[in-house]
Amino acid sequence: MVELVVDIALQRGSFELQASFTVAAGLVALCGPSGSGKSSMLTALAGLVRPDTGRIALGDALLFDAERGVHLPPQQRRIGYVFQNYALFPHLNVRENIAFGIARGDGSARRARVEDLLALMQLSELAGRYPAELSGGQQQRVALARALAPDPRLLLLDEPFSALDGDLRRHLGRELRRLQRQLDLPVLLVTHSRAEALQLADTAIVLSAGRVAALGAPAEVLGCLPGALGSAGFSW
Amino acid sequence: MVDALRLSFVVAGLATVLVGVLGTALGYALAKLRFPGRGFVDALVTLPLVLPPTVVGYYLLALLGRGGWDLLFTPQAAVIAAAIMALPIMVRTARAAIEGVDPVYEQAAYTLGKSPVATFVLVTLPLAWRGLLAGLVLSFARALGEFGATLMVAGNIPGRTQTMPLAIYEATQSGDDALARTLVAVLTLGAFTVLVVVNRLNRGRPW
Repeated sequence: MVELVVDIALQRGSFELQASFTVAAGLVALCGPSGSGKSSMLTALAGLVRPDTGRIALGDALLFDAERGVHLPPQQRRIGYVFQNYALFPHLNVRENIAFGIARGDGSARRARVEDLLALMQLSELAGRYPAELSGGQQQRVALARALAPDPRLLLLDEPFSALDGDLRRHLGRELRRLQRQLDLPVLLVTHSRAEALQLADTAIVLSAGRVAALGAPAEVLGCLPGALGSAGFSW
Repeated sequence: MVDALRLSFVVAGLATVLVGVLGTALGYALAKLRFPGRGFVDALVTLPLVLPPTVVGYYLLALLGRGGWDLLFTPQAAVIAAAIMALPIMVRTARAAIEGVDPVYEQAAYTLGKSPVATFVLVTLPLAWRGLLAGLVLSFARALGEFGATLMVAGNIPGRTQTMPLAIYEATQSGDDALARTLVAVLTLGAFTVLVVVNRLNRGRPW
């Protein structure tokens, strides 16, 4: 199994993220209250933000190493990113959004890849629609398909279910779980919700005030630490 | 009069093309990049907005008169004068339009493997196009009405550098009221149309 090794420090104003962990990738939930550094962690992993010091490695690939001056730009990391509000390109339809990240060149291979993803995410009938014409759940599926299109080696999801309501949330959670196993793709999921982490994750990382407070099986990590996390905004 | 009209549109059109490219690039740099001297560049390109046009014309006179370019009192000089006077408007609208695009779309494009240039062309530009187009239309209007700086560097040669505002001035001075009134009506109508178009562009979103 691919290992994600993170040991970074990052200062932004008065906020300091200083996190070190190693996880065997499967479906990893990154939990913690608002302002605990979950989003900073994702942007650092994706290469959108450069940590001040430290090292990030994914399997054999060294993504960031301050000492050796390595900082792969986001374009070269092959990390899929599903943003909190999906950030679908509003001027492109579903098909164009999904095709966006697939290299041009072989036209027929590109088209086939887009059709596969449309089918996989049950979006074929919506291919011509624009993001504004989609429901929250549909947008989320498009965002997933778009992130998967360039064949990433790690998928990051920033609170992908927060814009959705209860039933849909659970349904799409199960879908994600199934997809992750089917594609055998490491997934790191940021969530506010303890229930979500318990339902979906193989491993949970709990961040608190920019530091790793706990790491382990979700049931252990999230089950026996009530109140220990300064749980503002964390729905137990 | 037809000469002045045609020349005005050619000069303003060319100036708008220049300003569109340069102003968008500067607007992007000021919106996105943090570089030393950023405040200085910002102030410098805004200067023509607050200086009397004759002062800008004086600088251009000094600049274009040197180095053997031999551009003074040519239509090219009129284009440059109009472009410099319209540049602040284009830079400001382009900057606002580019800043109005949520950076998350650009970040998404980066994670999907697109270079900054490809991201600008495929994402930023299409999402900012209304603002940029409004900037172009306003720049065109500003270039069309340019008087002071043009007079300084291009002079007032009928059929060669005499644009509409200069023709209006001359017609008034020589008592040709009918010509002055026609030209004034044309420019007013043109400016009014421009404002209506810009207002429409600023309303709503393109998608």
